[in-house]
Amino acid sequence: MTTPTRSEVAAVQRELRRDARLEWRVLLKAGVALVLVTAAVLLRELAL
Amino acid sequence: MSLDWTAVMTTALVTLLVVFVLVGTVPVWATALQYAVLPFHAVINHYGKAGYACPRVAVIVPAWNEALVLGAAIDRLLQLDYPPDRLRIYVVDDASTDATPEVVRALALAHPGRVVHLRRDRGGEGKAHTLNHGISIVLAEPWAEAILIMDADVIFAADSLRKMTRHFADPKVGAVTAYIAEGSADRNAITRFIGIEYVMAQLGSRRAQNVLGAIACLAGGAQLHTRANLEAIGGRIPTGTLAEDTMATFESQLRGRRMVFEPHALVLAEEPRTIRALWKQRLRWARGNVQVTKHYRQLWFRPSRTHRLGGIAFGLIWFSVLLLPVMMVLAAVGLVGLMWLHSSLAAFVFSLMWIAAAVVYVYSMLVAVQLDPRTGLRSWREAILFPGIGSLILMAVAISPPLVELVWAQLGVVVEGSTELALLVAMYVWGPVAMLGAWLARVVEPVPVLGWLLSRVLLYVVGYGSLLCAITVDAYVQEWRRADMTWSKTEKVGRVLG
Repeated sequence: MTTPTRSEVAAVQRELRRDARLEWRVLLKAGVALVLVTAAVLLRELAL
Repeated sequence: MSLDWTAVMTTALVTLLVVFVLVGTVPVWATALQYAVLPFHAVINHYGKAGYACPRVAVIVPAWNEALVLGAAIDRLLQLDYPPDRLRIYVVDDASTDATPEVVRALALAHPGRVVHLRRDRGGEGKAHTLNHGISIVLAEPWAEAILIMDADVIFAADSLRKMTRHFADPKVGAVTAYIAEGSADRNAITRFIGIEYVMAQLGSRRAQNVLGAIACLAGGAQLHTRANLEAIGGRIPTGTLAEDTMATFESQLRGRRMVFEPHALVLAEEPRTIRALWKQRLRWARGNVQVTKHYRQLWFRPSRTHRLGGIAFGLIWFSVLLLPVMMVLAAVGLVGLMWLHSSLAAFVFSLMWIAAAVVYVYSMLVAVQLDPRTGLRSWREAILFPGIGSLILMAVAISPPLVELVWAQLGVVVEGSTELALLVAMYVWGPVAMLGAWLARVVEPVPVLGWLLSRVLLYVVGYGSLLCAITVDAYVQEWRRADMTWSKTEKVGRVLG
């Protein structure tokens, strides 16, 4: 493999940090889904 | 004191039937497990070990009569955001009888040294053999440091290869795969269902597999191997099964190499537009999975220090897909048996099963549509109706029995006696009935005039999952009969615009 320049390494690191940050959004999205499902289950328990 | 053997036998039988129903819920728990694990991808991922890596990549494109799609796929490869001097494209023309050779020759002429035409005089042996022809030529020279295996119809996003190669900064990684999304410009019900399925199976489940450390399959349309990894598995893609991509994935992991799914590397693919075409494609996949299961029979549920394929969680995920039809039939047998022996217990476990299914379906679908909002928005009907109208009704029955009684009252229908019994049986055996409905949808699809409409109505009623289950049953039958394993290609006409 080639020896990268400092700017190439920095660009890849930036992109990796951005994609890693996006993975935290998956946690948030799962949290949103969990809250909605829990609310639906609670509503059902209250309604019955 | 004498034992009441009738009571003992009845209790034993009731217990067995309850176990049958519980086995029927295993796929629900497997999905729940994957979507519970999925959020941990925020912390358990490979980005910390990834970095700059720009290997010389040989792209191998197997092509048999791909003239309609090949040009666009290679054009997009040539436009990748990747150093041109570090990318070579080898098209393995598998004795095509259409204009494929002319298309490739023209591209090779326009891009000398970057596009290479490899022609096989005798073709039709299947994708793995075609790939191996190209791999043997590529590995015979020292130039390639990584080998990208793809399909002739897929379109790589400009940054996809770069996002895949960065994982090779970690020498433990043997291969990386991308997110293959359904990319047809003119979508229909089938491609929209496939779009949702791919979001759930890749952006959802494969992320979870990243966390668990065992990948079931590197997608055959975008498999990037290091040279060392391909050489370690014998310098060739394993032949002998219909699931050459899964075999390569397993072989790599058995040698202790890590596989990574890169969710931010996007690849668009053209998928089947009819039930029959989908059946043909998935029958090959499902039969391949049956063969892989048999081939690695010593592997399952036997944890190892070298790999995670023998883990309990991975085994649960694998078999919940492979044995889904069996589990559905077991659940139906269990429920009908309980109905005769212990009707209130039957009603209880039925509710439990469908409430669990409803909760897991809503949660996983809500997560999935957020993971790829574009697909979620354009396929919202298929996302809602993914389990089928029949299953959605059963979920409603389980969640809110008073609501159902209200509906009956509004309709003026009195449900009692034989009507009630018939309805109960219909609800309890819905799983196998839905599979039959899916099979019927395939049968009626080519019938002129009403066939298309009836097949679509049936598909929405029984659900996409039941269609895949019915195909898996067909795979069992084909494998049991040792049916011909001739490679049947999925027709592609170039609907992906990218």
